[in-house]
Amino acid sequence: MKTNIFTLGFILTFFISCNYDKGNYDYIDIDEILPENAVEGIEDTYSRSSQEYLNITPKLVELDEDDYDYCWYLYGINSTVYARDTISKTKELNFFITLSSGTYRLFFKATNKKNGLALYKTTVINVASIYSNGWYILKKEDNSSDLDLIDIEGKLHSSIIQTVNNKPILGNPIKISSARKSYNHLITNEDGTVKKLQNQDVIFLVTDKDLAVLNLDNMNIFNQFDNLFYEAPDVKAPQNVFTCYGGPTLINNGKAHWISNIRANSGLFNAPIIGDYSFSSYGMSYFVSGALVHDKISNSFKVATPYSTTITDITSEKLNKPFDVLYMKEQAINSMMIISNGLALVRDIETNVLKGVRLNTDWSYGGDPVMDAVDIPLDRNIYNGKIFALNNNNNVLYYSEGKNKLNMYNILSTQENLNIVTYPDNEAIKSINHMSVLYSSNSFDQLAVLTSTGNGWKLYLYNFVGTTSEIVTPEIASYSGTGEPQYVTYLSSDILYVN
Amino acid sequence: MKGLNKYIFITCIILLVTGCKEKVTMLYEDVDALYFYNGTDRTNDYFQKDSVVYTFFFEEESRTSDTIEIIICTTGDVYNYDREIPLVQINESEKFAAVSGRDYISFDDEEMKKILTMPAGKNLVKIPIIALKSSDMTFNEYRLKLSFKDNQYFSTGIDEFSSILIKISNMASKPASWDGSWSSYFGQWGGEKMKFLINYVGFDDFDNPSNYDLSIISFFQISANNKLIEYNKQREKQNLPPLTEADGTIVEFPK
Repeated sequence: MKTNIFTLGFILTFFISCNYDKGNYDYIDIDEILPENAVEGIEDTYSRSSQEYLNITPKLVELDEDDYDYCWYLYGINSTVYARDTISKTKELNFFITLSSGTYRLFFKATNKKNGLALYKTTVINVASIYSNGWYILKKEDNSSDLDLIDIEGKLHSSIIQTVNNKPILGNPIKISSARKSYNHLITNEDGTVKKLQNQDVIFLVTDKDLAVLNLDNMNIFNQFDNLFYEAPDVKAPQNVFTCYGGPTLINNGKAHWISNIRANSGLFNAPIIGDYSFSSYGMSYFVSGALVHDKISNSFKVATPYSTTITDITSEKLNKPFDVLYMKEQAINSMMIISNGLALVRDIETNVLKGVRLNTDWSYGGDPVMDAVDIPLDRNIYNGKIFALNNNNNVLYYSEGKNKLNMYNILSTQENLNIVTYPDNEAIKSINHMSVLYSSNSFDQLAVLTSTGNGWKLYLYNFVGTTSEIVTPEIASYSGTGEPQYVTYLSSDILYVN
Repeated sequence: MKGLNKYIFITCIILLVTGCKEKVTMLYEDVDALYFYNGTDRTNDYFQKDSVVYTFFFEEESRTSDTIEIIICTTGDVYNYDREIPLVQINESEKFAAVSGRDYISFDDEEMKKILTMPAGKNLVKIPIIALKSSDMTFNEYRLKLSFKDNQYFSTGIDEFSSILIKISNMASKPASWDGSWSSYFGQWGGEKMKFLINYVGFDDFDNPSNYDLSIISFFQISANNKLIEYNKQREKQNLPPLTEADGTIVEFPK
């Protein structure tokens, strides 16, 4: 009998546990608690530069704002490096942006203090580094090198390397070049583990005593000469860096060292490319595959490319006598996507006759890169030239005798146009550069002339008459700053490689 | 109810019986014995197989002796005092057997005796065997097979790891990973070429090609070319021919 009672109780337990609980709750429609469009005042996207404030004042519609706790947080959309981070716990956002350039998703969260339910609103911030776009002036100050920047708003940022890193780069300035989304940098963490930052935007700053790789996002120094090689060269004498798709090529003490982007790499330059050569500082980037550089031993052009461990000799029918180079550069329009030409000004070593040279910049073209080598008549003033620059669209060189006058020379027609601009007597032209950004929302096409004023620098920017080499005077803008100027160029997120 | 008690009783008995398992004696667990480490432990940088190859070939000419480390382990407990390791050669009668005092420092040497010790509190020790270079080693490889004898601290240990063979010579030997790996960057193997890579290029990690990315391998390749050019220039100044292998093949690296 006892056993039967136990069995009955056991079975009843199962039935009771399965009883439907009808409950006694008062359900409220979701829209009453979390009404749609409850948050106003937050736009779908925001575009800001780093070092700027992002101010947003949201409003809770038909809700008592005092009943809520607030929180703003964000994370990188295109990036795995930036984890979710809370940036504010107030309703109004007043956020000073120190983020790396990129796209971020920003969340606004209002949590009801009584029931814990939360309202969300998301938006997107496109952050651009202030360093990403603008005119850069490489200058000497206190026997070191630094950069001034005129950003896209026309605001001058002085001595940014000193400001950001608390030190300038030692040595007399020579040049800067840049490469976008292609430099790898290793960071050793405190625990000894190593993290690789891949495809970074960088500036290569060359002085006669150092080479610095600067992070274009924040101007931090990634690395300097002594730590930029698998095995540092015995002689530290940087001359130039040519950037291209295949990777940067450094000329140091006449030898070419590359970082190959076609191989896994850690941002370190290789041993000097094999060959009997001693490069001058003059060359131009082959947009895809290395650089065409002047060799002082053979007094000819040779190719240094990250695709090869050896130097490639160039034989030219049109430039078949020993020559040295006074100026050389590729005609750069946007990035490597546009194949254009290069121009050079060379001197025949036997006759001292200058030649205007048109070069093919498409390495796949192969063979002889010299398209034309035209003698410059001896009566042309360009024989007195010291500072040169090319026009990106025409076969024209701008030049100065190092004084206050800007001149033009057409290397095919041999026609000159002197004194197209005359600057004040106390100014001397130090650098000229034609920079073009086409087919972009930030398009522009300007000639920059950088002068030394004795106690600082002055930068003049000119538009062109159509696609000609003729500039519109007077200048459309001018800027001034301190320090002894050396070089001017424009860096743009639309230009992958600037040389 | 009586029946129920019976089942409970049987269940308890079964549980008790299955809970008692016969103790399996762990081999050597309680035996103080010695054996040669055999395996790879990257964390502690232990690597040892049943034989070790050493050559003076890649060292400077002036080097007449060098250290070959072997790893010795114990079974059994660790003790709070040092224990002498009774290391012995067991192949004296074989052809090309290493000769104590000629090819290696004798284990009876007073300094070696001090070294041949398992330190207090340890169950593993790296013992340096001092190899001596003799003129015959240019043509012959001498073999030193080591094992242990019993002493007051240790008795016979794991048979499988009770001996190790050390091969000592002054001849070059080709790494197993050369063909199919390094040959792509350094070309055909040669003793002088390998010696040059070690002494002038600074590369000697031939056993681990997977540790290197293509950029650093290309660095070694370019560096080898550049340094060989410089090296041969120096030889030319001394009226010497370019670097060659013993058979007269000129040393070259692919470019």
